[in-house]
Amino acid sequence: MATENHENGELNPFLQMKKRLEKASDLISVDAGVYKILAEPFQELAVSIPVRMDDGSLRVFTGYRVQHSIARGPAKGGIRYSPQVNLDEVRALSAWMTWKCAVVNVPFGGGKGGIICDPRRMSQGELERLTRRYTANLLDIIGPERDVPAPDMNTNAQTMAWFMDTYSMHTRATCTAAVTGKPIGLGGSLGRTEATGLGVAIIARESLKYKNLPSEGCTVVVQGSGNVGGLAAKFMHEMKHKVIAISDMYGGIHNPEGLDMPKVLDWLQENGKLEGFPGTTNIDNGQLLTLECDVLIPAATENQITSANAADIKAKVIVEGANGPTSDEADMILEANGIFVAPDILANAGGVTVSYFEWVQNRMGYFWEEKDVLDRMERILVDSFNDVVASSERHTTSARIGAYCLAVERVAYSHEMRGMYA
Amino acid sequence: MPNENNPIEEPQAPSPALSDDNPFASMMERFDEAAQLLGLDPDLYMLLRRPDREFKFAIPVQLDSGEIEVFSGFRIRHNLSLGPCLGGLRFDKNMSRDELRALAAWTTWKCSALNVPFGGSMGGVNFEPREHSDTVVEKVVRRYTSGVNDLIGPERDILIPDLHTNERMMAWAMDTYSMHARHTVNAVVVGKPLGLGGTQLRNSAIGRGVRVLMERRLGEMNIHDKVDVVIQGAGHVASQVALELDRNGHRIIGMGDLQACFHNKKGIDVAALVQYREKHGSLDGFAGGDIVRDFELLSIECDVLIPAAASNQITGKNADTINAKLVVEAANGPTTKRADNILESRGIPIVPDLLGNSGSVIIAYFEWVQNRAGYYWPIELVEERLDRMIIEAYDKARKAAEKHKVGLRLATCMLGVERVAYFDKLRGVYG
Repeated sequence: MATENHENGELNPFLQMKKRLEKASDLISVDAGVYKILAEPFQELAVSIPVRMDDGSLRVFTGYRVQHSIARGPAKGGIRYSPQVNLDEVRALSAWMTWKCAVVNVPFGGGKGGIICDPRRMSQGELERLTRRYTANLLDIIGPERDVPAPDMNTNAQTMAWFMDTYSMHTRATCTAAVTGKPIGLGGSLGRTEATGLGVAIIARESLKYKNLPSEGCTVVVQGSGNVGGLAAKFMHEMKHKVIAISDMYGGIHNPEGLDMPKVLDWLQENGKLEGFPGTTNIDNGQLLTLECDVLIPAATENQITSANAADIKAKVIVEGANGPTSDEADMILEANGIFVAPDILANAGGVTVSYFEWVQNRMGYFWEEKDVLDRMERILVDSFNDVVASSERHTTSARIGAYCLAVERVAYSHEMRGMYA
Repeated sequence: MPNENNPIEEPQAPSPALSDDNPFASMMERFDEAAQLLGLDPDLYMLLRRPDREFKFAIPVQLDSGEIEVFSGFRIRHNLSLGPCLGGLRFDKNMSRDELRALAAWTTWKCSALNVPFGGSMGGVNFEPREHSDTVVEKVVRRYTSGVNDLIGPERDILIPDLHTNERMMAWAMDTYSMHARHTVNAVVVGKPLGLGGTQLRNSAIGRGVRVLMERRLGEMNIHDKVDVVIQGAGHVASQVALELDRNGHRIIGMGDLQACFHNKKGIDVAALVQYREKHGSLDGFAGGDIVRDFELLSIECDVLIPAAASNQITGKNADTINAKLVVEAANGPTTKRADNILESRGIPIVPDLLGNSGSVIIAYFEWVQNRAGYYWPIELVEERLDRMIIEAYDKARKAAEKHKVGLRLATCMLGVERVAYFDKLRGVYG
């Protein structure tokens, strides 16, 4: 299979996804044939993207788009630009999107895309040409009813605007619903910037309630201070919890008395890094993850909590803001230690929920107020949290596998009802 | 780590080792050589070396037992600067992505060298049709076609039978595409049965092309009489070559495949041989000449040797024993690069596969043209037009060989690469 040659299975995201799928499928006795369908992507396209660079030379980039499932609706998932993009990762991320959309019960399948490139070394013009040609090469498989991309690592509202424009020029009509994460005023939804971070905080709140921990005054450690980690920390602060440590790509800051989050974020904005924020001591990533605290929010990258450090984690609740921060091996250690993990496919699903709202608003051409958007998101997340814990209790398993059971059940049901074409 | 030169890195599919005996590696090697001799612009070189896009998809099929099996389907498109792509649909459990890539690129050069307005593509399913019922095979063909529905089409990418696929399956593919389009679209697939959009001469175009080229090359060597020919192979291609030569008065003195080979100085009764094989599925027990070992077949003294079976048959090991005045390649890649050099030094000319089996691509093109027109040509017209295209391509390649002082094989490849590069450059970079 696609991944057997990877040396460390614990760090291969596609293998990790499959392990969990397998566990959940066993628990809910998924039909063997449907399991085979779910274990591999529905379709994947690799494209050569020739781009005229500013210096006149031609470079040919490689781009991917993987659609893991379209059983419940159009594929949905981000597009990332990074030198580390590889097909197995894109496959895993697309499958995660399938499960995530199913957990929050939005009518989407899962997709993911990426281009192998180093956006920091490219001009805006080069990035625009890259995005446009990539979009043109995907035209046969994307569209508001087929596959709806969104921003991901190193892509943003501007990238999505180029994407939407190129798609629209080819279809001869403005089609905002072809992509989400667009700028406000160009079909973007209010509330999308906050959605993931706020969603993480809401799931943290529900997790604390579920574990009978206090609704304020808990200590919180956050790994990552971007759109997810930074905002989750800010919302936890607003809920009167105590954020005692937070990190960025250069390292972390720690203050056992709690950080004034709005000020920390202002500082980060001004200085470009957290280090040096008054009244804090510097800590590294490893120390940060194993701090004594009530809530740990890994909101940076994949593979942060592994069999190497899981036994040292002291948090009572982990809320996964990032995708795939915890390996399957680490999961078992955390479970044995009684640590509650709100899994990524639930905890950071606020983003895709509001992406769904953006698509809905684009289709009807009518836009909701921010409060409407965030209230509706909160309702979906709280319902989903309850569905997940009910599923985990029913199958006497962790919240993660409970979430997978819920998702796989929903996707498998679609397959069974739709039947086999041809 | 992803390799930027490798559009899809597939960790489990190790690239074929670059050895003399790997036909696909040598195909790309020849492209590199052609590109270098042409002084190809580095930008274009980079672009032409890679497929335009590669598509992989799941083909879930319910088997007769009720069990669901999921096969993998592929469609790789190499280049479309000359027109829609043309590419095989093959069923092969062991196919590798590199193989498909090379075949797609190869079709690009071939169409270009022949002045056929197509680019190259290739596709397949990791599936062994002989292990399954017709029902399951039909399901796989139909699900493959609906999987690539958005990528193929008469103006985009046209399917043609290849390894373990046939005209019946092409009819299923055409039907599935047509059902999705809500009207009959026969130009999306070639190699269809006659009456369903198939063309006259569809089962003898390769044979005819081989004969036309053989006679032309012999004429240049001042051999105008009928000749003695040895044909390696006994399948679809070899039979039509044998029948065509036989009909035109040439004598087949050696023929056979891995099961059985025959040598008959007075000439084998080709019609009987083809009939025997059709009836018995093998040449075992056929009495039409002396039985020889398969490796001996290639070294029989003759005027013309026609490898019409597998690749890598004339190698560095046996090139010295070839006892023919001319080699015409009807198979794909039957001669390795090392053998090429040996034959050249021995003064034995080769008509390379790009030209030798070009009848298949030209007849595919003619089928597509007739489907588009909705008007069908009489056989004489098909024959006349086929001959003309093949001879024009051959003459151009001969001139190019003289001009660049290279062998005919490399010259044909250069011709192909040069045209694609020229038109790619004219069209410019979109986006």
